[in-house]
Amino acid sequence: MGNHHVIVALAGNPNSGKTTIFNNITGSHQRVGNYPGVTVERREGVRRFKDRELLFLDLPGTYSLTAHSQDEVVARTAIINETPDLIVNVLDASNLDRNMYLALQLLELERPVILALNMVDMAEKRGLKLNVALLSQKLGTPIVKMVGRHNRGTRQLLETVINVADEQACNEFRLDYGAEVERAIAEINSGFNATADLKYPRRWLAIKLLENDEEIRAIVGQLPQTENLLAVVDQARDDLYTQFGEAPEFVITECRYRFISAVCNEVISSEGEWVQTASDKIDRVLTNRLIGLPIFFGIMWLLFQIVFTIGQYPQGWIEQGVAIFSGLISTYMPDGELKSLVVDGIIGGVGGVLTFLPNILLLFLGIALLEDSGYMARAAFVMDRIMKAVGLHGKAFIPLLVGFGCNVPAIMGTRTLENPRDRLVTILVAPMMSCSARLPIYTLLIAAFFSPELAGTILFAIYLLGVVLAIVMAKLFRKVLFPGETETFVMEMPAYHMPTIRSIVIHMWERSMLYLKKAGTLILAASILVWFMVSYPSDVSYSRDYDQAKVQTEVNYSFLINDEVFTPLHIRMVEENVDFSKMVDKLKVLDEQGKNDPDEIQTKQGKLEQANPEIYTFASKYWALEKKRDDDIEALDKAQASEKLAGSYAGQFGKIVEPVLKPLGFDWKIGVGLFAAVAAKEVLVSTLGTIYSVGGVGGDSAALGEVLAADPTFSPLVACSLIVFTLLYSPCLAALAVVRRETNSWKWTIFTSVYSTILAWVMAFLIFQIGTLLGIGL
Amino acid sequence: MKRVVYHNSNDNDYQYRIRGAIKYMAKMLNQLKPGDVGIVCRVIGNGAVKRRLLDMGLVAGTPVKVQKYAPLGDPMEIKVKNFNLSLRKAEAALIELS
Repeated sequence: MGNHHVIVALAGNPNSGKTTIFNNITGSHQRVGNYPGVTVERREGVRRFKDRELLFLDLPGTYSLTAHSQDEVVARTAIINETPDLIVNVLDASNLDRNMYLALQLLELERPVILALNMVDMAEKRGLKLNVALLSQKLGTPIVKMVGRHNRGTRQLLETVINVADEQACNEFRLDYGAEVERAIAEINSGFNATADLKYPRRWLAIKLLENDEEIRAIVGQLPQTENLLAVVDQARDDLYTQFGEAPEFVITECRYRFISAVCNEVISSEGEWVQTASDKIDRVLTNRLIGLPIFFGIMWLLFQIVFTIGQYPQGWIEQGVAIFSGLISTYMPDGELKSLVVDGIIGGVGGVLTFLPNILLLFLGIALLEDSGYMARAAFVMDRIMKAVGLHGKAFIPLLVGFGCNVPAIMGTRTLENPRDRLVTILVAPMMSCSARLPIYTLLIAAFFSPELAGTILFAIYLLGVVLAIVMAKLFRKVLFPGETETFVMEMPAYHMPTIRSIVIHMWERSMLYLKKAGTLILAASILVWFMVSYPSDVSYSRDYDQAKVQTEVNYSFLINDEVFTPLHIRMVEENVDFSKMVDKLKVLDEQGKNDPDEIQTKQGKLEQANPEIYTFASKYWALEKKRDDDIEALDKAQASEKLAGSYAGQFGKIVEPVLKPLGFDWKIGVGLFAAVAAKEVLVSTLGTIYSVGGVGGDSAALGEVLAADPTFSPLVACSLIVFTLLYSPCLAALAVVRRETNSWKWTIFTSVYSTILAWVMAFLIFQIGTLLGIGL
Repeated sequence: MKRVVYHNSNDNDYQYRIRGAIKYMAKMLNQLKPGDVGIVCRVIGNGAVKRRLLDMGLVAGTPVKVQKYAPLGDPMEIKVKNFNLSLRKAEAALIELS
């Protein structure tokens, strides 16, 4: 018996159906993380089979194993470092030529290899006949035929895995690269210290050195006594170059493909060339010259609708649920700081995390459908001309579009970009897409400072400004961060497939869990921090004694009511006069019912007055005084909240940064609002509401607009400057948390926050200063 | 045959003429129309693009067929053996056909 614990590395080309097979084998027993130091995903899963525990490591999908892409380096180092017992290479049987190119390179790593020939049904449909036995003999490896999307062949694959693991036989395959190259390989091999313990197979190292693989050169350069060796390599490369008139790496590639071509000629018999497949026929419509783009925009419109229009319903339920829950806690917990922490800090923070979840689920439903069906590559195909002009990949369009709804799923959606540089640039500019959380700020300020005719134009200009700056910054980042790097677009157009429900559900589930675990905790922690900053210190020294003032107000009004109502009626309390008490109740009910219809109130009041003029006079006077008392106390409450916020750490921060904000036309109050709004941009409205003493959270936006319009600090120009600043400055905490998660680096997270804030400052500065100089909108 | 000697011409100019001549003679992939077929002769250059194109199987002797151009004229889609590949015209311009 062999070992009970078998480690299997799963390799294969993108679009070979590798992930489907991995899902078939491991089901929900998967773990997703990152390889250390890079953003390449590391996926592993466990499967028990015949009393054996099989650990499957799903390597990134690659076409080759050179050092030219991060995915390729990760895949091959995983094979070297994690010493899997064997490699399962998934191949697309309908496209064997190109898939075998990776297989040959895997065989060279000198581990046992099993070829999983996937999609054999598709190959048959295309009229390809495969001689599997002969192929197995030629390559010296076992082959299993599979149809991943119908879960066929999984059992047989697992049995083969166990057999091969028990045999522990190494593969004997050696590709003959021809006399000249083989001589060079032998020469380099003799240069290795015969006793040295190398992690890598020697022949493979020699081939990689001939291919001028940067990573392997660096590794070999660090081995003892190797200065000579690298000189030998360089000499060999020069010799081969003169012999072939081409760099050795290309000679080696051509040699591999020659071998593959020879094998395929023997193994595959096909009917006719240039078969127009079903996919080609579908593409005649979907990437059609005339209707290809309209179809694309239609699909994008649908995606946006699904994510945000449908998403707002579950979002509403979550918000209601959180509100009910915090209401419950409020009633059962004693007032105090702990309650404030639990209700405003923790529940508020958890609610903030959860509200994004429906969008993320729906977005990844859409992305999984687009990717698994094969349309994603077509989307990139039709959009690339436009996106190339911006310096981005065709696929970057989708996450950027989603950004108009919310930046959090947008940044998570950049995963569809395989190239890490494309992905980073897209992440950096995605927050410039004006998300829906910023809209309440724009509408508040536009309504307060501009005529309704201008509103639409200004709103459009804001969105446009975001797009234009995103283009400018994308070009700049591309130039400055990755100078001289040319991006290749060369991309496979996979055949269309019906997506399976299983893979879509796994995809959605996985993304949501990652969001909740990795980003969610960060968002929660940051929300609590912001809550702390706006609520503490709690012992603010107020300009007056508010509690005393409130008591005084109560007392004053009760005297007033006594003098003007109770004494003339000869009562001490309302209940003593039944008619009076009934009349007051009727007035109360009338007030509540007729809130929206002042005319109706008046006619009904008139009727009440006719019924009993004397009592009505006193009752209406009494009710008016009660309302006035409540208003006065509420005003005191708001003034107190405003002073408390001004005295909080956030308020102090606002005052400290005021000199920096002054050139933009902002005072410390706006500073506090902007600070709190890093938690979530729409918070700016409610914070300004608190600080201007007009209602707390969810305060009356129209009332706030009036107060802002009356504040001498504000002017249409300042409003403009503030709108631009909120559009551009640091993305909200949730967005930053996913930037951290997607770039796997604090450096880029901080960079995103800092650069956008600087950009916001510069733009707002220009607007305010130029506007002031020209005397516009003062 | 009379041998042409370029007097008064600097090295750059000479290089330019040579390249022009190659371009005139060889057909590049980006010059094909949809439906046209060709056989790869070689991929020009030494960089990442060449590396990637060769990895994808565009080695000498491989037949290719142009499927179509994107709605905005770029990139293009070709058939290589049993799969479809899209690439930008600038990348296709590196692929010389025989």
